[in-house]
Amino acid sequence: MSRFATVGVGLAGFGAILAAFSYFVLLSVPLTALGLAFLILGCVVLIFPEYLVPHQVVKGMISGSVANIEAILEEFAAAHKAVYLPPKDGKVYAFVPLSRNSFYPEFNRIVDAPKRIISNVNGHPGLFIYPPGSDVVALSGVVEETMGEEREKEGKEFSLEDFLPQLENAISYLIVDFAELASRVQVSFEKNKALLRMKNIKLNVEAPRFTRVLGSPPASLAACVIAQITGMPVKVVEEKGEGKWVRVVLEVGR
Amino acid sequence: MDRHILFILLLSAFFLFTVAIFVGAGEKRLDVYISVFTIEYLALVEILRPRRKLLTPLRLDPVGLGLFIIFCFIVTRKVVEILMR
Repeated sequence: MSRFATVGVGLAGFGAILAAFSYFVLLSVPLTALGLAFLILGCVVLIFPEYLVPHQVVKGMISGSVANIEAILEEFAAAHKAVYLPPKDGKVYAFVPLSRNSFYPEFNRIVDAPKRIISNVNGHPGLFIYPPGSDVVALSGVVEETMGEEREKEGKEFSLEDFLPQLENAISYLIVDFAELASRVQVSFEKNKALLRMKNIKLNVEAPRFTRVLGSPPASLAACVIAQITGMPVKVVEEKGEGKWVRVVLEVGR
Repeated sequence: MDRHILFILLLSAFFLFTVAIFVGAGEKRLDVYISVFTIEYLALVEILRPRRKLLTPLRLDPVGLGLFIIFCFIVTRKVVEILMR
């Protein structure tokens, strides 16, 4: 049992006993309330995650990864928008086409192509990038299963709206609470597009090509979450600053 | 200071002050204590946003949800009491 769990069980147990004894035997409301306070505190400690990864570590991890990817993208002079692919073995990859015209090969072929840095999909060269958001999503434990894949197996038709509450909560939790990349996130959906508004972006990395191809780090993180949850490909199509807010448009679907 | 530790410390302090002040004021209704605990908890969660294990798939806070249900029950009972008078 972890340290948090031991303290939580101790506090909750003590609180429950104190509250029950005070209420039924001592007939004292203040002591019952004190017992309930301990019980609530115990439950709060119990629901804390076992390993609290500091947000500075998460930000450092993202910055380091962004710098490496920026160097690769510069080397290959990648200019077209990346497609975030549905997870394979729990990892989200992004495909960046390298051809002069912005041609995206057939989706199924991209998914099945070998995940090497430089790959050839149906005669079209491209890069398979492992975005930093993929690791952050895995580290947070926010996505336990790819719901899109499950529904596809069951043969059910599904759209972006089916994932609305899950996506809204997961994106907000990851960007605001877990990685602390922004102070507030608003998520809305419009047909096959996810619209994000993020306030006070707290991570500024100098990576123009990364931003142009994969989106800014928070947008990239959001794209990874959407790809993980829906099992559909995602593309960051637009990113625009509006004062303290940044508006991001993500295209979801084949 | 880590916001999780700060959250626990502030919540403990708020709860203890609430009990102390209410005892001083001679408050005997348990539902008043619980209502104030609920408000304090939800306010602190909103301000400090500590990471918690949430209930999937809607990612609900189990403690917040439990307290909110109890709070709703208390409020409903009070409303019924007033209407029945």
